[in-house]
Amino acid sequence: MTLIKKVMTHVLVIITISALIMGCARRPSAEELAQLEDLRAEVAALEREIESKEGERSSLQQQVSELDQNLRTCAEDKEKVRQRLQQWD
Amino acid sequence: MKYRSLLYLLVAALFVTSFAVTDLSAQNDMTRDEWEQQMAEYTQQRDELRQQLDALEAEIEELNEQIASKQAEYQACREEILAMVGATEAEIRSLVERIQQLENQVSALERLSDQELLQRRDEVDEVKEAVNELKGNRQTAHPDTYDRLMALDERVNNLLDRLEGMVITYTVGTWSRDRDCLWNIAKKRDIYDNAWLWPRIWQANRDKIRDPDIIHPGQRLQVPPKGDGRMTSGEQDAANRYYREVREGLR
Repeated sequence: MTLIKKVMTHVLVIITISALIMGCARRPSAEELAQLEDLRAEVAALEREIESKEGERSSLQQQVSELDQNLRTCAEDKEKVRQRLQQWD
Repeated sequence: MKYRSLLYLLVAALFVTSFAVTDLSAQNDMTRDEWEQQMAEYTQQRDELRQQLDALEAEIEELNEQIASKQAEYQACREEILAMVGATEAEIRSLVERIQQLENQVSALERLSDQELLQRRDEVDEVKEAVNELKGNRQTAHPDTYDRLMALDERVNNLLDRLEGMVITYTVGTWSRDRDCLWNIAKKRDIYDNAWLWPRIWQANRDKIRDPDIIHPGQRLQVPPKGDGRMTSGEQDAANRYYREVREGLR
């Protein structure tokens, strides 16, 4: 009986010490680390997508600029044609 | 003794387990506080990026709408010009192709020496005629054709000026004094020194000479240079026609 009591006491002491060691370290669990890793991956993916969208936006802005120029040229052309046709008539 | 061994085994197992769990975190060398901090930072960054992405997508959508609208406006403008000149896209394309052909022809003529150009004078006249015909077509007022046509016209005029520079003027004298006819004029030493080249003078003065047997004193005739002494195809055709008419008694 004394021996069992003694063993139980030892076990309790060891469990307490182990718990204290683990508790003092305050390390995140594997699941939490995986969560952080997922979050990092999501941020990286978003950054890549934004970079791609910025490229797309830049290309579209260029197209708008070219179309504006085309429209100005077309308006000038229309006026020139009007004047030429007056000479014809 | 048996229990003591069991106890040591248990202690060893607990230590191993404890270190195994600690080691998992130690691989990332991260404390819980650091983990929480990084989680917070990445979460904030993710939220900001999502907002940025949403804003970008909205901007892209708006730009696409602008492009569609401006393209429609541009198309309407082009169609309005087509309606003004009374042409279709296909007709303008066809005119552009015709101008391109003439430009190529003129480029080839421009590369010729004076003598070679003189030989192909008829071709220059044909190009000029074609350009004038195009200038009379109001569809060429279209911006895709007008400036090119005007530039082409100027180049053809330059070719004609070049040819003009090679031509001298001869004033016809009287038959009694000078014995001037196209044959005799061509035979003169300071003209061609070759009577058979008389059709050249005739063809260069078609506006003044309707019948090559009849020229009048005082007429000022253009005399193109002799060149290499060979007649152009136009001149040769005219000569052949004349000689045939003479043979057939039509002259």
